[in-house]
Amino acid sequence: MKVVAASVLFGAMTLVTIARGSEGAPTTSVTDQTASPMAGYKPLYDGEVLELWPGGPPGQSPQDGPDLIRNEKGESHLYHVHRPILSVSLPAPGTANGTAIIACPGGGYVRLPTSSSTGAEAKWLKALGVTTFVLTYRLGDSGTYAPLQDVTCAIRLVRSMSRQAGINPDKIGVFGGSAGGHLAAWASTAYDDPVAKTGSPLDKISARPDFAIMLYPVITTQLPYAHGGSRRALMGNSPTPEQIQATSVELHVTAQTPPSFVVSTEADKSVPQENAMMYYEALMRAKVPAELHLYELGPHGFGFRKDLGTTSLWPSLAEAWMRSHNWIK
Amino acid sequence: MRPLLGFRSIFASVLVLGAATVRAAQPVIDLWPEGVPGLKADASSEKGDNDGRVWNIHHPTLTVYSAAQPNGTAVIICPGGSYVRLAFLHEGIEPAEFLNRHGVTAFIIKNRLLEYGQPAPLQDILRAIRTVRSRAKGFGVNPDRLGVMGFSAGGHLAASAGTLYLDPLGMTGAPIDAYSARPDFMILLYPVITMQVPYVHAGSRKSLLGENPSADLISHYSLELQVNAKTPPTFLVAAEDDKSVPPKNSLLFYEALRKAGVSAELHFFEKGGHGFGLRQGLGPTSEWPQRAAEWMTVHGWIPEEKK
Repeated sequence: MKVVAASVLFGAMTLVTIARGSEGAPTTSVTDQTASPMAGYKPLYDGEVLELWPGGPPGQSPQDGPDLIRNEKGESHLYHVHRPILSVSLPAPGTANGTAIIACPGGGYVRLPTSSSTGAEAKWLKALGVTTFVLTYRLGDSGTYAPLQDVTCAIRLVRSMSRQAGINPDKIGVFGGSAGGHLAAWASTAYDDPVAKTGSPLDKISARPDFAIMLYPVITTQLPYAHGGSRRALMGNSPTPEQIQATSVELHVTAQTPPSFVVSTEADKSVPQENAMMYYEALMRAKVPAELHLYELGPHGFGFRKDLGTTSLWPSLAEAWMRSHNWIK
Repeated sequence: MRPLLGFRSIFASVLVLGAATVRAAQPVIDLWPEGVPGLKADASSEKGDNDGRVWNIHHPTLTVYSAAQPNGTAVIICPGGSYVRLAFLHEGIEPAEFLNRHGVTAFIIKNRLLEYGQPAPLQDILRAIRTVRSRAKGFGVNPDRLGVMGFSAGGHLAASAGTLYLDPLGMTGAPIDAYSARPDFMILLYPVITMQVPYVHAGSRKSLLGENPSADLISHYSLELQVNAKTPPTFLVAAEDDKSVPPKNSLLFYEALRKAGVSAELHFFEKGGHGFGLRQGLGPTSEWPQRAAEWMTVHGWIPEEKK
């Protein structure tokens, strides 16, 4: 993977960023703090990669080693993420509707699919006119709260650059499957958590997603319905009660939790369906507008598979839901 | 084959004309031709209002809504109304017309209500299923493709059929008892399921079980406790903002079905409150009939749409 970053201008601050558009064409831009608010704004381009922490992630030096790519059973996975990034996927020119989604892939907080495997959701959202940012976030090996810091940083960053990205800062959603669903729900409930504030000027920007779409999400780290792998990856073999409390997102739903759309299947042998149900019940108690769709068919991680009966229709239901909220046309 | 095509098109127009004229008077089937079991001595005639609601049912019936192009699947519709009345128009005729459009033959039940309490409603729905099955050929339906659809308290009645179909109280010794009363599938809209606190719908319980029901009676009619592997595949819909019947009823039933390994699907939408029926203008909620049709298609109860 190319080491790439993007020009990011936030208010009248200076951020030093490195941008390498295409291979062999690295550019460095330093935005000037005295420039007018519009100066230095460059439109995003499709395939652009934004670095979340240009100075290195909090609590970690950039020298902690490279991200690791492993090929397993024909699929390419990323381990040991140390340089969290957002990969930009833009709708066709003239079709963007101002809505943005930060997509959080799943992988039990141990690994992430490489960008090729996340292509289906970006393609779907692209066709809907949604500007998509695929998040490569730090995993459990960077600490319990590293993934939360990354997703909240990503939301703040996208919101801060909404003008440049041509998006509406009030229409920024999160989307995630499995552990990525946990991360989406975590952002939905812990966006104001002190642990998600790192002293960066971006901290002033809201990290609250405006909506969340979750597929077969991990929700709780409490027994008996915890997903063992995610729990272990985030907190090790002996989590403290405080850690479990903090990472069980169903305990933190409030009336301010964003509208949510949740899908899971009976056939999921990996993440118990109770996770989706308990999150929905918490949303219902807090009177947060939300949809829950429980299907029969579809193993864990079915994504955009077409051969799963009514389960394969979930994208059209998600579209109807987004349309009813005016996030898409 | 030209003559055959000609015959078909003439036949189709006759059917369409027929459907238009028959609407005025749908065939009505008496569920207890030999006499209603336990008929009250003071039985009086049915009452109704301008919104298509009926009550004071003493002589249970099925009203037949035939499809113009029947596909062999039949559904018995149980309208809601807290076991006090029946929303015969909004939760009977309107869904029947939706089913007809998909080629499904619909039968709307008028079952006994609070004037009788349990087990009369259960007796009526089980007799209704046996009646349709025993006369399947005459209705042009396949006896193995007979579902139930129920709304609110009618959802409780439909789900009672799917869980208590073997109940001896559903048999009266009539020859028709030989037919199975098990529905082949269930479509439940904002159903009442449990009779247990805290999620019980108090009005339905009072009508069905009386003021102070025994623990046994409560368990018997708490349908989440009656599910087993033979309970038929089920499709559930509820709205999050239902202030009348807690949506938890649907979740309890779904959980029981899942634990029993029964094929099930549940959709919770944001808006619609209670009793939305086929009302339009509720965003994704109003698309539930389409979701139900998709589910029925996947299970082979309605054929794939010709493209």
